[in-house]
Amino acid sequence: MKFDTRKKELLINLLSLVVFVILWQGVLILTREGIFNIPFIRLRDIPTPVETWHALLGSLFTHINGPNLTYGIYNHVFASMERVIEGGIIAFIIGVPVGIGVGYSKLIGNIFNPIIEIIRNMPPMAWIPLAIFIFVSGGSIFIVFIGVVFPIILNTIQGVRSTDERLLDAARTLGASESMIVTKVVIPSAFPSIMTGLRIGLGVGWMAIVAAEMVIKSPVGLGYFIWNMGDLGRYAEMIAGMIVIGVIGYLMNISILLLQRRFIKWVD
Amino acid sequence: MVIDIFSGKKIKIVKNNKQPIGCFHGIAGFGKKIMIKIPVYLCERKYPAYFYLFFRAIGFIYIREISQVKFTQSWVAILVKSILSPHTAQASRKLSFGCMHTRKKRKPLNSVIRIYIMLTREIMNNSIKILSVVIFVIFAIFLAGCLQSNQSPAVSEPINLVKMSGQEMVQKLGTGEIAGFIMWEPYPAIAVTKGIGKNLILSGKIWKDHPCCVVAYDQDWYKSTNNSDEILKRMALVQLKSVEYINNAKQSDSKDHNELINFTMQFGGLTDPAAANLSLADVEFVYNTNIPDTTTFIQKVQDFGIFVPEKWNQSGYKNASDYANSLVTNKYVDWAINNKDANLSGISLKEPVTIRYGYLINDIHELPFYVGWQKGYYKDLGINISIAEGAPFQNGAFEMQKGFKGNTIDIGSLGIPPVIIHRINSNDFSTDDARVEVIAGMNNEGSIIVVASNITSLKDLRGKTVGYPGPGTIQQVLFLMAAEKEGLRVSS
Repeated sequence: MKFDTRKKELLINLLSLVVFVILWQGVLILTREGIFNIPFIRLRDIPTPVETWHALLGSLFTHINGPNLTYGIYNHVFASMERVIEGGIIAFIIGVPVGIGVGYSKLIGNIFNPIIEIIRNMPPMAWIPLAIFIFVSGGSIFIVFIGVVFPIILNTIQGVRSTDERLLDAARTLGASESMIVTKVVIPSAFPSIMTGLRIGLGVGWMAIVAAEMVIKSPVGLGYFIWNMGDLGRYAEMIAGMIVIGVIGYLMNISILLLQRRFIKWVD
Repeated sequence: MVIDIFSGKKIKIVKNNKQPIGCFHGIAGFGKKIMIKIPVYLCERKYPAYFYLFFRAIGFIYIREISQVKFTQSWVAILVKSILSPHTAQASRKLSFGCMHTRKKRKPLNSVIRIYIMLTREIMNNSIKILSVVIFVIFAIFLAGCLQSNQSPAVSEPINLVKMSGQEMVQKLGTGEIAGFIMWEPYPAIAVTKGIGKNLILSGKIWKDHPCCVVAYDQDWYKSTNNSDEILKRMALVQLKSVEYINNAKQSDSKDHNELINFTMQFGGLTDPAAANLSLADVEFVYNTNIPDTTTFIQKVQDFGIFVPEKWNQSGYKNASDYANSLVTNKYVDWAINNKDANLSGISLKEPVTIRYGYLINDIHELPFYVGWQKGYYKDLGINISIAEGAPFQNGAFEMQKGFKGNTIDIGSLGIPPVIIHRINSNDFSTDDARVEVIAGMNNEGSIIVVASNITSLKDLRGKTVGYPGPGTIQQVLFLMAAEKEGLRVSS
């Protein structure tokens, strides 16, 4: 059989996933039979892929037992996604102008750079206690905002600074005003970079939301879900939730990449 | 001469009328004809004319820098001329109208059919791009769904239980972030004495004399210790003595009353004696356990769907009472009652043992343990208490998983539902590592639903957030039972 490279790559990718699942199952079977053991780790408690799959199917939708309503993963995904999108939008609205200002004007750059350089080194998780104390609600959106805004700012600055000097000269030659240069030259030129910032930022934000939901309390959210399931001793559901988190993070990344290709034609 | 504005190289043109020749445009005003190549993909889209003019200007600067063309006029003048010349205007118009492509003539079609054909062709050609759009739409639907669910607090809206610590509950009830909470004493008493909330339902109203916290031991410890039965008998005796002391000292005219209030304030982390008094009044301290009540609890936990079904099948218990019988042992309490007045030196253990004891944080329900510890009842019987690693625990579920299952606790006190739930859910039935057994009681009742002042019944809590210590705790089960009576739904 003849494969072209693309198909070959896909095949290898799929195989690696399959091998990983088989290894997972195999190690657990060996552990449960008592053949394989790692001290200080309770490997026996980890659910097998099969159990995880059943747990995922079982907890996908909302269950009602008498008065007890258990939200499905579906609802939790909604809730987390909503927070990430809201935080991402706010970060985009604030981050892009700041980035353009800092990148384009030396003066603004010198004013804001020290602040940005210090604050961006505080991880989003370090803001969680502050968010708990100062926000009556929406603390987790704030954490997402912190996670998203700095990649956007930094990438915007980088994109603005790498604008082709010749394009700027050309625009100036043609008598464009500063505001026209920014809107017609700098922003289109920096746009791919801004999108990259958004993509990286949403990745960070998605990780931050899960951590934030574990600490900042709300009835729905994937972070809350996996913590809750752990509390109930339902480890299979917990792992299923973790996998859903990973898959959604991956999908978000991919879809932004595709959007980038769809809408920004002028960059290869 | 043709210059590619991106690479700056001079290129030759092969003219072929059948293929689109790309977008070439001559700049007027030079001695030689200079052409600038604009990449074809820019021409494919119908950008406005100024876009192309802009590109042409860039090309002009390029030419100025790299070409050997000698300029007889100032280059600004050339540029202005070139823009204003009729040649340029025509070319720009052409550019903006579709880039000199050769086009086939199309048959006139019904516009609907044409749109349909265009759409299908688009979909066929751009499946990946469209996939991305679809994913985007799904995101949008997600967003819309969330917004909608937030906007309409329907009548059937559930009460949202949210896990938090006792301090958080009091603080958040004060700020209005939560509408109420269900918690063990002393937190309800703190909220009430501070004027933050009011008692809505005492757990005795939900279920009269329901068991709450119990003393339990770890099966692994039991098996690996020689005289474990003897130790457990003494543990039960201490429990009995402490409970009797507390029930006696609870009376305000008792001579031990002040001492008990001090113990309560220390153990509960209280600063206000009024809160200590209030919380003591709400808790009923007992030392015995009973199987029927335990059975009821197990039945409730099962009805509420908290057990993992596969684990329940693995456990091999036929029904709730079967499980309750294997969970609760009364023989140690019976021994304690018989030896209540025996001489201490006669029944004290010959060789003192050290017990790793686990308990819950600031839980007034477990005051008998603190009293026995502080008043030296354990020591009198030859038992040294060492606080287990990780204690005091945030809730019973955590104590079961981290302490009993992780073998850092020998004996501990916690609510009975965590014991019931995690002996099934967290247990590995091949080693029975989470198997614990209940030997004595701590208290009955003593959990309270506290709400903000504008709430008058459980129904008012619909769609609001209520704090609770965590899933699988007695407070969760009690709240579910209260909601069941009123026909409400609770999400957790």
